[in-house]
Formats: sequence, C-alpha cells, structure tokens
Amino acid sequence: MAIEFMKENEIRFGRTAGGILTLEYMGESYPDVVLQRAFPLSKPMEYISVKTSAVHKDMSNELGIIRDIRLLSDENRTHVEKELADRYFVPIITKIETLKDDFGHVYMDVITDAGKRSIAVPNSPANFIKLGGNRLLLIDFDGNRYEIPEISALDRKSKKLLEVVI
Amino acid sequence: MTLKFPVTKEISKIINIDNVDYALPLDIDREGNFGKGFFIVTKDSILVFYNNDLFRELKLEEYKDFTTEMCVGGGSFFAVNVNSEQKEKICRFTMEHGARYALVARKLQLRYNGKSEFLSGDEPDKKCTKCGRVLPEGSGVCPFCTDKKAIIFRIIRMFKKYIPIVTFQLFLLLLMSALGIVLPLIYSEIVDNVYKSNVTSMDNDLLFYFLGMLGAYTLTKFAHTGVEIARGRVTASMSNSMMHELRMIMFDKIQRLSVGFSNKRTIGDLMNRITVDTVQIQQFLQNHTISLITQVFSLIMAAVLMFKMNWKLSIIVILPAPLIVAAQRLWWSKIRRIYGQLRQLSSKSDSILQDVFSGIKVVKAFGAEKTEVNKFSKVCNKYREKTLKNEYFWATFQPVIGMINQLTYYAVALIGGIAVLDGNMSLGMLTAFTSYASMIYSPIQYLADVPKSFAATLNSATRVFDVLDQKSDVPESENPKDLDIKGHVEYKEVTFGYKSYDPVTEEINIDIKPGEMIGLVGHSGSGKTTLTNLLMRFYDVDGGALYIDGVNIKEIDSEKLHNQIGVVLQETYLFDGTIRENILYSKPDATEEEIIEACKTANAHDFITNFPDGYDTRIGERGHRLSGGEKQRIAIARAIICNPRILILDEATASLDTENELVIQTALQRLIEGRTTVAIAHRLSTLKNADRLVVLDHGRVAEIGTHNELIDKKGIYYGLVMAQLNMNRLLGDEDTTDSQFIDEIKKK
Repeated sequence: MAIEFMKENEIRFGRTAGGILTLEYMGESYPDVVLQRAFPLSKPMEYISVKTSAVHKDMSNELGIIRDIRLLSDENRTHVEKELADRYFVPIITKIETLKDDFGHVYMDVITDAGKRSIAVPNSPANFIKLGGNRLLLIDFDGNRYEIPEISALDRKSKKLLEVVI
Repeated sequence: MTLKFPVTKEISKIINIDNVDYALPLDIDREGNFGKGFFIVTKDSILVFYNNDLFRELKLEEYKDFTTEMCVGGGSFFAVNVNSEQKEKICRFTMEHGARYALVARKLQLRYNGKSEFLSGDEPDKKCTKCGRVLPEGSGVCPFCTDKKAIIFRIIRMFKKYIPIVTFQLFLLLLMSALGIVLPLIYSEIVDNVYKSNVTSMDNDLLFYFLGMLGAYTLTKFAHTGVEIARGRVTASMSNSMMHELRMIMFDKIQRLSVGFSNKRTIGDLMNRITVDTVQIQQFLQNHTISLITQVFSLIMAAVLMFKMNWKLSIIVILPAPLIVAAQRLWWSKIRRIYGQLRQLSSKSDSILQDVFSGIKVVKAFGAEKTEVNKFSKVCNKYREKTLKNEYFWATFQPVIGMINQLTYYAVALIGGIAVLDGNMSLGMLTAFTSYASMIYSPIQYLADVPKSFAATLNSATRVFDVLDQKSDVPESENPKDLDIKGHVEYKEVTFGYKSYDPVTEEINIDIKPGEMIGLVGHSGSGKTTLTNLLMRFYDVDGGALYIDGVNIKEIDSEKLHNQIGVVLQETYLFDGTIRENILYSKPDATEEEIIEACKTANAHDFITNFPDGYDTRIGERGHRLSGGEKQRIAIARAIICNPRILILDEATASLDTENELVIQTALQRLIEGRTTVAIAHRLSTLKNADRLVVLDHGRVAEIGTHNELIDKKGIYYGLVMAQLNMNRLLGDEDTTDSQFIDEIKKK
C-alpha cells in the first residue's frame, strides 16, 4: 500500500487554549490530532504519522505522514516540535553525579537538559540499551527514558561511573 | 498505591489539608522540565501547583471526562470543560506517577457519574514513597524504611522452638573456639620445655613429660575435631528443618492466596521467594546469630592472649589487619565487576548462537551468513579482550595478596625472633603467637561482611513477610455457606478491572437460568474471559455483585464452589503424571468405573485404551506426547468427573482442527446437558446450541438474545457473523459445521 505523504502547503497546525493540537488539512478541520514518530530513535524528525481520534478509511486513523518536518513552514514546525517534545519526553543526560548499584538496581543522580533528577534503573542490558557505538538509551524502573547521545563526550567522572554498568 | 502524598509546608498554608482527597507530585513543570509541583484534588476542585505557587484551580462541577494519556517517558491529564465542550490538557507527569494519575482520573470519573470512588483491587507501590528505592518485587514494604529490629525479632520469634537447640549449638561452638585457643598453648609449652632445659640426652622424666604433653595435645585435638563434627551435624539438621518449615509456610500461603496475587507477580519472583529468600533467611540464622557470637569470642580471646604475650608484636599484627581486609574487599568488588561483564558478554554470545540456530532457515533463505558471522565474531572478540583483562588481573592479584600476607608473617618472625634472641620472649610463645595471629584474620573478614548480608537478609525477610502478611483479595466469608448449587447465576451491576484504574467490565447485568447455556460473544478484550474469571471467584468484583442461586458468591464456601464448577480452557494444562492421575485431579476419590464413564462421555476412552499403557500412560514432559485434541478431551473428562452444576468453556475448541472439533463438540454437547453453561467461542458456529447469546462490547453488555433474535436485530452480533462468513469465504474454509450454520443464516 502506498504511503500517503501529507502536502506540506496544505497543513495548518494550531493549538487550542486548552493545549490540544488541532489541524486543518485539505479543507477539513480536525480538533484533536496526535503525532507519532515512525522511527523515534533513528529518524526522530522524519516520517511523522499524523493521527486523529476517529477511525478513517481502511480502518486506520492515520491522516498521512509528514516526510520531514524541516519541509514545514516555521509556524507548523514550531507546533510539531513542541508536540513531539511533549509526547517523547526523553531528557538528555549531560552529567552523572553519583551512581550506586544496589540489589539489582542502579541509583543515579543525573543532570539532564530538563534539570536534575534521581533515577533508579534496573541493572540489565534491557534497560541500558546501546544504540550503536557511543549512544546509550536508559529506561528507568518506571519506564521513563533518558539518552546519552555520545558517551565519549561525557566528562571523565561520569564515564568512570558509567563503566560500572556497561 | 499511595494517592495522597504529604504536601509541602507552603502548600499546606494555602489549602486546608483535611479537604485534600488526592495529592500527587507533579514532576514536569510548565516549560517541560523536571519540576516540583503538586496535583491536588479536593472535594470540589483540582488544584495545580508549580513550585508551591497555585497555578490553576479547576472547579470540578465545570469539568467532565477525566482521562490520561500515556506517551513516551510521561503522560498528560485531560478533562473536558462542560461549558465550552473543549478538551483541555491540565498537566504533564513522568511515568513515575503515571499509574497514580490514571487511577485518580478514573476515580474522578466515578465521582462525576455519582458512583462510589472505592475500588477494591489496588496495586501496591513499586517504589518506596519515602526513600525512592525500588521495593523488593511485588512487596509494598521498603526494607530500608521499615523497623529493622522488628523484622529481626520477628524472624527469631518465628523460630522460637529452635532456641534450645540453638543454645546447644552455641555451647558447642564456644567449646570449639576455646579448644582451638588452648591448642597453641600446649604446643608452646612443649616447645619451650624441650628447648629451655638445654637437654642433651633424653631422661625418663623428660620422656614422660614429653609423652604426657603430646597426649594432652592429641586429646585436645581429638576433642576439637569431635565437637566440630557434632556442631556441623547439629547445624545441618537444624537449619534444614528451619528452611523446610519456612518453605512449607510460604508455599501453603501462596496457594491459598488469590489468582490476583499470583498474577501481579512473575512466576520467577514467586519461585525466588520460596527457593532463594528462604535460604537467605536460613543462612542469616545460621551464620549471623551463633557465628557472630563465636567469631567475636575467638577474636577477643586471641587478641587478649596475644597482647598478654607481647603487646608490641600484637600491634604490628593487628594494625594492618583492617587495612588488608579493606583492600581485599576493594579488589573483590573489581573482580565481581569483571565477572559481571564476562557473564553479560557470554550470555550475549549465547543469545546470538541461539538466535542463529533457531532461525537457521531464515539466515540461509536471506543469504545472511556473513552478517551473522561478523556479529558473532564481534562479541567473541570483546569476550576475548575481557577475559584477557581478567586473567592479567588474576595473574597480578594472587601473588600480591600472598605477598602481603607473607609480609606480616615476616615482620612477626623478624621482631619476634629478635625478642626471642634478646630473651624477652620464649620460642614456644612465639609459635603460639603466630598461631593466634593467623586466627584473627578470618573473624575480621567475617565482620566486614556482616552489614552486606544483613541488608540482603532484610530484603529477603521483607519479601517473605510480604507473602505471609498478604490478605487474600478474595477473603473467605466468616460463615461460609455450604451450597448445593442448582445453577442459577446472576450478574448484577458487575464492574471489575484487573488494574483498578482500567475497568474491563462495567455494569454487567445477566440473569442465567439453571441449566441454560449462555454464549459470550464479542471482540477480543471485550471482557468475556473476565466474566468467567469472576464466576470462578478468581477475583472479587469492584462494584455490583454476583449471585449463585440467590447467594452472593462471596458468602459461598470457596472449596465447595470450586468443586461444583467445571472448567475447560483453550490452553489445557495437564500435570506431569498419568492420565488417570490427571482425571482424578478434580475428584481424588473417583472409582475406575467413574473414570471410564467420564472419558467415554468426553470421547476420550477409545484413544486412551489404544495406548499401550492405557489410563496409566504417563503424560507431560517425560511422558507421552498428546495432541491438542487428545489433551482437550482429557480436560473435558477431568471437568465432568465431579459432576459440576456450572460449566465454563473458554474457547475450548479454538485451537483444534475441524475434525477434532467435531469430536469434541459432540462430547461437549453431552456435557452441557442439564448444566448451567457459560461458553466463550471465537468461532460463532460453535455457539449455535446456546440458549441465549450475550454480546459484549468494550466491557458492557451490548445485546442479549437468541441467535435468531440477534440476527434479526442486525446489530453487533449480525456484524460479527457476517464478518466471519466473509472471512471463511475468503479462506475457502467452508467446513461442514460452518456451512450448516451458513445455510441457516441464508435461510433467514
């Protein structure tokens, strides 16, 4: 089945006073749309699926796919980036302050781009996921995600602490 | 689950705490960063605080449709404004409190609908709300925040009856240490007396003295060994019966707890509690009550004797001891880390091998041999590097530790030797001294390990006590009724969810007459199996009630209830054992005639007698492999042998081919006769004999009626039937049962 890429110049994203993402597209208006990444880890800003709450043709609720958000107008792009940042809350860890392995869980105090946080991560390869080479994805005990895009770019102390678990 | 967290002082100044129903930490701020806020629900409003400042107040009377949406790494709380009919995003939270927000949303929705907010099935907290540590799996108690002394005393109280034998053991151990302390003294006496007198020839006096001392030494050694053997045996028998007892208590309790308890925990977790945690507690009792005392005793005795002999030398020996032990522990932690990494790498290479060998056809079909070889070689290389590092480390570590141990010994020999030559110390004393010096290391090492194993024991003990303290979700009534079931089943306003914030069935009303067959129909996830689970009382309802012959199911003796309900499920579980034993499972006192009768009814007799071992055929892992249809027929025999009044068939024929299904259908037909039956089937044709069909949709009863009534109605059931007919036509799968069924519908 062919992919339905959305026509960028027909897209008009908006936001209600209540903070809900809306869309006008090809003469139709959708009061509540949801954006989902098809490749959240490998291509986070491309292939964004736009869905509505209602089911459409072919039993699907997908309106179409945004090929690349860089092709959107500035205003649309701001809306999309904000929505994606809300929906995919994956803070970037910039520094590890403390790290302690205790009964199978690794307790860490970290500094992220969203502020300081104390986290507990099960000490298992399923929770410290190496995404090729230098990139590390952490999934904590509650299911929250954190990312270290470049392990080698961390400071010495953070790297040393991280060695205990990976 | 905690839904009312203590709020900050500043917030408690703004609002009256007594009016707060729910208070949840709000950990994402307005800008989308981590923040410290609060989401508070009072009797009439929702209050959103960011950093102790009231950001928003929503009057509950102006809002409806409270929902949450879980995304990646967090979620949002929504409500719809009654006036503008606009959905609003109220706040965002991380997954740490996701389940709590979902539960509050559900409770607010119940409040909006004018229902009680009480939900019986509550999930335990997974992290300590005080210290943030992950709780032992499935337990609601934090081993670090509970009263540690209380736990230890509880363990000791539990094994009160072992106190005499423990005292005896303590006596043996102290005796053993005392004898151990005496041995070097005798030895020193001998050495001194032989060398002191500068004897050149052996006279009789000396000979007798010498023989006497040697005899004393040997006897003491014998006594020491004897006591050691006795102590070992006493310890083994005591600790084993302790562990046995603890395991039996645990197993018994877990068996008696509800299905809900087991379902919230993994099989591995439950097994660990019985096998690993009990051992931990046993070892604690064995090693850290009695041994602690004796180790401290020998340490003090050895140290006192050493100081009495030569205090300067003693300081040389004792001072570095803690340092050496600390250094060893540091090294050990490094070694453990390397071993951990090695284990991970080896399991990774194992899983690659497993993957490739099980998918060998796929690898070959896509010509991916080279990629797989590369993948494997990468992991193997890493493994090689790590192993090399490990071996290098060991090659250095062993000699260094040996050398350090030797150095202390040399120092003692040197300084002691000088003292002997100067006449400040006898040679015998020096030999005794070196013996004592070697005695102090193991108690110090032992004491250094105490805190860690103490913590591990606390962890295990909380997990064990968590089970023992667990109250069943389906408690037995105080005056359980011994009911002879006739088969009238009534669901009244039944609401239930496995997770209390996520209801699976809502306000179900079904009245099933004795002997009636009801077919439950609906999309997967519409709550069909849930209704049968409630009828078996695996769970209790959250709202409404379930009656059997007019008696609330909660008041019926649960053993009597289960004896009168027969179940055949899609995935049949037969235990390891013979066919006969498996059939007897539901009625242990059944006669051979009854077994054969049941199997004849279940269409199982013929194939069973064809086996060389007949009804005595072993099945299960190490026995005869039965086909799906054969297993199912044995399960039916097992269900009917106790002559149940209520029968539950959950997709009993779904995994079978058409031919087998026909055989089993006829067996089921005999089984259903005169019994109240609740049947679930994906294939609608299997329900054609049902007196009435109940169509479920999203947890609610959408339609009730006979097959013909529902077809005429052209509602959900009609849609399901048509969809299935179309699919059968597509697949060309118009087998006999189905085609009859189709003809009937076409006639209409």
